[in-house]
Amino acid sequence: MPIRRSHEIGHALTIDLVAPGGQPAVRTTCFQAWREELPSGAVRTSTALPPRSWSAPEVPPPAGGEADRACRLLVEFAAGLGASAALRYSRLVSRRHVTDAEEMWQSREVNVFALTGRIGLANGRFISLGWSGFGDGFDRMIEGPMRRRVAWIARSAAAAAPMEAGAGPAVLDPQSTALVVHEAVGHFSEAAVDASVDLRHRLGCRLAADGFDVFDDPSLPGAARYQVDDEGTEAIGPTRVLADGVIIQQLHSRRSAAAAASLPTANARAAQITLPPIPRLSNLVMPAGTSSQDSLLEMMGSGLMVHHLSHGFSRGIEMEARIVLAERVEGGRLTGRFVSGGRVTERVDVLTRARSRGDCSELNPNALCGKHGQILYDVGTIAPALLLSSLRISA
Amino acid sequence: MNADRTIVFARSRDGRTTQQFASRIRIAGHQAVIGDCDLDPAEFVDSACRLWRRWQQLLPDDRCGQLVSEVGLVCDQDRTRPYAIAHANGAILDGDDRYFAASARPATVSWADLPAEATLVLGPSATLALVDFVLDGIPGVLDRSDWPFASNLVIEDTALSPYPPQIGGNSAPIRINPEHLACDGCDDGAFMLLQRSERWQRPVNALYNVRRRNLAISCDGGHRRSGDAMVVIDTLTAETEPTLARSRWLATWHLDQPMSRRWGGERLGLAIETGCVLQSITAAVGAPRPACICDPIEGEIYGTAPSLALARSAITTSMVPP
Repeated sequence: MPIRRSHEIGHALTIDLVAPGGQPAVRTTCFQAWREELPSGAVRTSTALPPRSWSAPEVPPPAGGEADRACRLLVEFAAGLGASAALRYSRLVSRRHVTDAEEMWQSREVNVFALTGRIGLANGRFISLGWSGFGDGFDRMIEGPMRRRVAWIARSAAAAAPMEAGAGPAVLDPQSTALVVHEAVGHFSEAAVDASVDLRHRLGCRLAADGFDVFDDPSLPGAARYQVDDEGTEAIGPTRVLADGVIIQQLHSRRSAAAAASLPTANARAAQITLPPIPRLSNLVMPAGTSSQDSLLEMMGSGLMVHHLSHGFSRGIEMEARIVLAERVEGGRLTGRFVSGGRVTERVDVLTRARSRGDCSELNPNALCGKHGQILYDVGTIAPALLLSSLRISA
Repeated sequence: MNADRTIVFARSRDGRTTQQFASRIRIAGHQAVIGDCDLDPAEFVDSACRLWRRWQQLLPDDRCGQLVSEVGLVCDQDRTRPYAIAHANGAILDGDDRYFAASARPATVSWADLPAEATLVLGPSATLALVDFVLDGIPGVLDRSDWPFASNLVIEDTALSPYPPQIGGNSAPIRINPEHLACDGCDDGAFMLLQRSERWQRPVNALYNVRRRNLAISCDGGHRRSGDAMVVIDTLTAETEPTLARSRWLATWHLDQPMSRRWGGERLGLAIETGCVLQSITAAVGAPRPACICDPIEGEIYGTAPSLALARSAITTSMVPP
């Protein structure tokens, strides 16, 4: 009897565009595949319909993507940036089914997009674009606040002075907070990919100041939206990862949970059906506080307002990110003096220096997350602005 | 480009069990259909496990956990190609096994015991990893004087791959230089559709450098061995995001002497001045060979790269506890 069987049917759409002047290059891929894990440890994978003996649900492929509209919006989006860019729009729509030796088939829809690439600035430098999440993403590509913000970041970063190394107080805007929470709290709370690696010593570690809670919840209207994970474990509600700043729960697959004498948390996720589900975040949530962004700046007095981070990375107890755009703050006021470049280089307990939270949480538009060779487009983070007493920056 | 390709293989990471994969992709222009595969990779299971065990005998215990063997078949409309490949964290293991002593356990050498005169060399996979990292760390358009590579180091963006299931694409290679960091002008749909046999849902280079294909690196001026003893960095794994500033790496290595090779007894932590380490390369010590980066985000990235000699002062080393 197999440990687990799964199959998937769907299609992927990819559009590349070099702007200005380029024509969209559209590629489509229709696929079907199955995967079977056997008790011996062997894994069999094939791109075919599942064998009839599996009694797998027979479903038609989901409806096709709107390639023409996506092309048009991508061209408009690139033109709206007012800068050169090499962009890729990706869309994936599929239906996955999974069962094991004990349960019936569980099904879930995969419906995600990504808009990635590189934007050239007026000063010759590049910034990266990484938007992704649930659905087609069309609402972000049309003229509106999100597109205007990218254009503003590109313009401001082009005029920014180089960032200097050092440490000092900082206010992170919600996007920047989300990246830090994702790298510092999220990845540190995931169980190891190899279930034989025991990370339970992390339980009880302080990662944030008193009063800070963090949840993981796939059922929210965030980037990830699923009722069952890729092992078929049902998501029954939020998992409280951090309580009063301390790790109280790790995020588990079935295998890692069994090894840790814990329960699975519906966090087994696979980038596609041919790859093994591993413990991954779904939507990480840091609840909002009570301070307006202006009052966070007032509290800080002088320091740095971090508007945008990219290239988040964590390994063990260290994390880092590129500073795409920050702004000097003096007397509790933004000065219009932008800085760019340099890296946040911190340990994962950076949030122990958190002093106060903003009163409005936002979903980070970047839900891309790569781990163990698997890139997910729907790893959400919802976070408010944050005041840190100190943030360490390397040149 | 039209194609009808079937790929079947068995891959082993422990010499006992395998991942068996069978896939058929049909391409018509820019449309691909993945499905309808009726070949069974079971016939490759024994070969994959045998290949793994052969290299297991030649690797020290602590590197066997990185060992991957794969045996399979690529069937195109006009030809069928069997293949076998083994690598340890991306360092391609090929015909060099004759140099490693097949004793009861492979001999290792400690970094502290290396001959003082040993030349420091980046092996093909380490060269590929470092060049790829430096390219990704370039923050914008650079003057020629700031180009982080020696002028004789030729870096091409190509549709070709040394990994048989990936060979595909129909556009010419492009030399990467300060004016051309990627092949922005070409639309290589076949490359994009054929490069990821196991990961078709995510295009190659899904994140930021979306126009980059595979790298083929070479060094003008031929190649010659540098000294009797060479300490060869087999693999480099970045501990930081791409940057031209100082970067941290984990490395595996071996000592290469004319008639013998011994594996490094411990992993190394390296600090590299990323922006300048490849500016002073004078010549290669080995011809370009297949190489692989086991990227924690993108997965396996293949290319070809030569072995390059570095000044010992170009890196700072520390031991990594087992």
